[in-house]
Amino acid sequence: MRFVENMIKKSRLMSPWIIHFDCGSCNGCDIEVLACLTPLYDVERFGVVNTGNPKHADVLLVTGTVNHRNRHVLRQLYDQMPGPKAVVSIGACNLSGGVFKDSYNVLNGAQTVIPVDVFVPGCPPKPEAIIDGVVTALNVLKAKMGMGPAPEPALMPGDADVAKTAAAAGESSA
Amino acid sequence: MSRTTVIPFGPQHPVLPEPLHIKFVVEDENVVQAVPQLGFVHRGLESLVRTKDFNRMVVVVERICGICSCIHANCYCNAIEDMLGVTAPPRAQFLRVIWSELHRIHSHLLWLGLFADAFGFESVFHQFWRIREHVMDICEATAGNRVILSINVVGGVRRDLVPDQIRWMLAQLNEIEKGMHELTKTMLNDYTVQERTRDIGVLTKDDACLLGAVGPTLRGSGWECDERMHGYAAYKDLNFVPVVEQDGDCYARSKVRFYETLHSIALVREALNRLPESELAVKLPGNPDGESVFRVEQPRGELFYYVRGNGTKMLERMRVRTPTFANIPPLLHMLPGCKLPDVPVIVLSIDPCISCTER
Amino acid sequence: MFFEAKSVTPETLLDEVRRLAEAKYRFVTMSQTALDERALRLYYHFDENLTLTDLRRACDLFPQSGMTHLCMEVDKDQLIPSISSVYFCALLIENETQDQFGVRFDGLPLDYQGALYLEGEVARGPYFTMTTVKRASGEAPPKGPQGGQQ
Repeated sequence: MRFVENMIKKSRLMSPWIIHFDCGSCNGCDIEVLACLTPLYDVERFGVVNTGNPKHADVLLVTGTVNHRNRHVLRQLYDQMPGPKAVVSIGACNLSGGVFKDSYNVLNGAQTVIPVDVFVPGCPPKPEAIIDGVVTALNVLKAKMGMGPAPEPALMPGDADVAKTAAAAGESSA
Repeated sequence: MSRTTVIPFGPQHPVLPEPLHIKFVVEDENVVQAVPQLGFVHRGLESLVRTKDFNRMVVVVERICGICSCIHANCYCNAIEDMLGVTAPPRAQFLRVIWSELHRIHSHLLWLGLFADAFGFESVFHQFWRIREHVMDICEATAGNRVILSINVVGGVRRDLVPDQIRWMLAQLNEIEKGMHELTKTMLNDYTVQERTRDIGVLTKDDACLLGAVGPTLRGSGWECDERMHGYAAYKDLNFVPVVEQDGDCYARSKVRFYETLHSIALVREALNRLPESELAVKLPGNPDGESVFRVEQPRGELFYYVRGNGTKMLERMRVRTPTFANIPPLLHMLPGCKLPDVPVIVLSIDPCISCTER
Repeated sequence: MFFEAKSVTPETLLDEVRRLAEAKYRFVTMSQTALDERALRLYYHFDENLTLTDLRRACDLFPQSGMTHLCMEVDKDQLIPSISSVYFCALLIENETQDQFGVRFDGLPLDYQGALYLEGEVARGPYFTMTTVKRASGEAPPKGPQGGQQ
C-alpha cells in the first residue's frame, strides 16, 4: 500500500497540471505563460498540462494586478484546488502591484489574498523564468508531500544584505 | 418546446484566456441575449497621471496592454508632443513605425493562433506561435524585451538600430513571410475553417458604423478606415494601403488580419530600407499645457487618447479609449441569434483585449 | 492637436447627435474632465469615415482631420441625457462615467448603477474625490452628488 501511495505521489510530480488565472494583467505575462506551451519552449514534453479546471490542477499560476473584484474569483479558485498545491505568482504587478501600486483599485499583490510559494519577478518575466518558477513550485509540492526538503529561498543579485537579515530571522522563525 | 437558461461565461474559462464575464441567455442552443460584466481587470490607471509626471507616465501607458505597448506609448507621446509644439525627428518617426508594425505582426500572429484554437485547429495554433517567436527574437534583440518595448519617450525614441541589426532583421522578416505563405492555404482555403467561420457573426456595413466598430472589425465590414491613413509618424512617407473585406463575417475579419500581417512585414521592410539619418529625440521646451487628442491604429483598431495638461509636470487628466472598448457593442449585437458552440469564435473574432478595455 | 469643439447644452445635445448620426458619423468616444468640485466637462468625439483619397489630400494640412467634437459643461447634480438611444455604443462609456465621476445619466438601456468596474468596497467616484477645496471652518460642506465619497 505504501508503495502505491509513493507511486501516485511520484507520478504527480512527474506530470504537474497547471491552471493559469489572469487576475488583471496587461496580457504581457499571459502571453509569456502561453508561449511556454508553444513549440519553442514546449513544456508539455515535461508532462506539464494546462488545464482550465481548478479541481484537476496541482499548480496555480497567477498573473496581473489583483483588484477588488477579481480577488474573490482568485480566492475561490484557490479553495477549489485539491491539496497539496503550490502557487506561483508571476510578474511585477502580481508580486506587489508594480507600476499600478498607487491606483485606487489595486491591491498590493496576490499574497494579500492567497498564500504564495514562488515569486517570479519581471515585467514580464521571460518564459524560461516562468518554467524555472514552475520547477521550483514542484520542489515546494514535494516538500508538502513529505518527500524532500523545502527549497532554499533564492534571492536576486544585490539582495546580499537582505539575505543576511533573512538568514538571521529565518533561524528563529523556521 | 424551448427553455430559457442563463449561462455565465468567464471570468476563468477554459476557452477564453482573458477575464471577460458574459451572461448568455439561451433558448436551447440559440443565444438570445448577451450581457457583459466588466471590471475584473480594472486598474484605474488613468488616475495615475496625477501622481506621476508626464515623462514617467510613458512607462504606465505601455503597461495598459502588453500586446501593443509600443503603440500606446506612441500615441501618448504624440499627444504630448502636439501640446508642447514639438515634432519627433525623422529617424525617430521611422523607428516608431518599425516597432509599431513589429507589434502588429506579433499581435496578429498571436490572434490567428488563438482563433484557430477557438475552432479546435490546434496544430495551426502551434504553427502560428512558432512563426511568432521570430518576431519576439527581433524585439528582444533590438528593444531589449520580448513583450513590453520601452522605446518611446516624449520627443522621440531612446534606442537606435545599427546596420548589422537591420540586415539580420530583414533576414528574419523573410523567415516570417515564408512561414505565413506556407499557412495561407490552411488558414484561408481550408474547408473546415470556412465551415466554422463563414456567415458566422455577420456585421453589416451600416451596423458597423452605427455601433462604432473599429479596426479589422470595421474594415471586415467594408469600411476603408484605418488611422494609419492619416499619416501620423512616418506612415505618410510609406506606401500604405488599408486592407478591406466586404463580407463582415468572422472569415472576413480573419482575412483582414492575415493580409495585414503580410502588409506590415512589407511596411517594416520599407521603413528599414529607407531609415533616414537624424538625431533620436528633441529637447522638450517645458511642461504641457492645454488639451489635445490623438488617434493611432492599434492591431485591434483605433486607439484614442485625450490629455489635458495644466502647465505643471503632472497632467490633469488622461483618457484612453481602446479599440476593444469600442468593439464590445458590435459584439453584443453579433451574439444574439448565434448557436452556443459558435460563441468562442465570435468573441475571438473581435480580438478582445480586456486589459485594454478596462485599463 | 489642439482641437475645436462645438458647445452644446443638455437640451440641444440629442438633436445635434441625431444630426451627426444621420450624416453617418461614427461615435468615437467621450472624454470627461472635472473642472472643479461641481462642474464636469464632457467632450463627445465623432469621426467622419472618409475615403483614402479625401485623406491623402487633407493629411498634410490637418494631421488628425476627420473628427468632430462636441463640448458640454454640466453640473454633477443634474441628470445628463444619454445618447445611447441614438448611438447604442455610448452605453459603456456613459456607465463608466457614472462609475468614475458619480454623475447620473438619464435613459440608459443597461444601467450598471455605478458598478461597471468597481466593487462596493472601493470608495465611490475615484475622480470625484481628487479635487480639494479650501473651505472656511464651520461652513457646512455642500451636499455631495449621488455616488460621491461617503
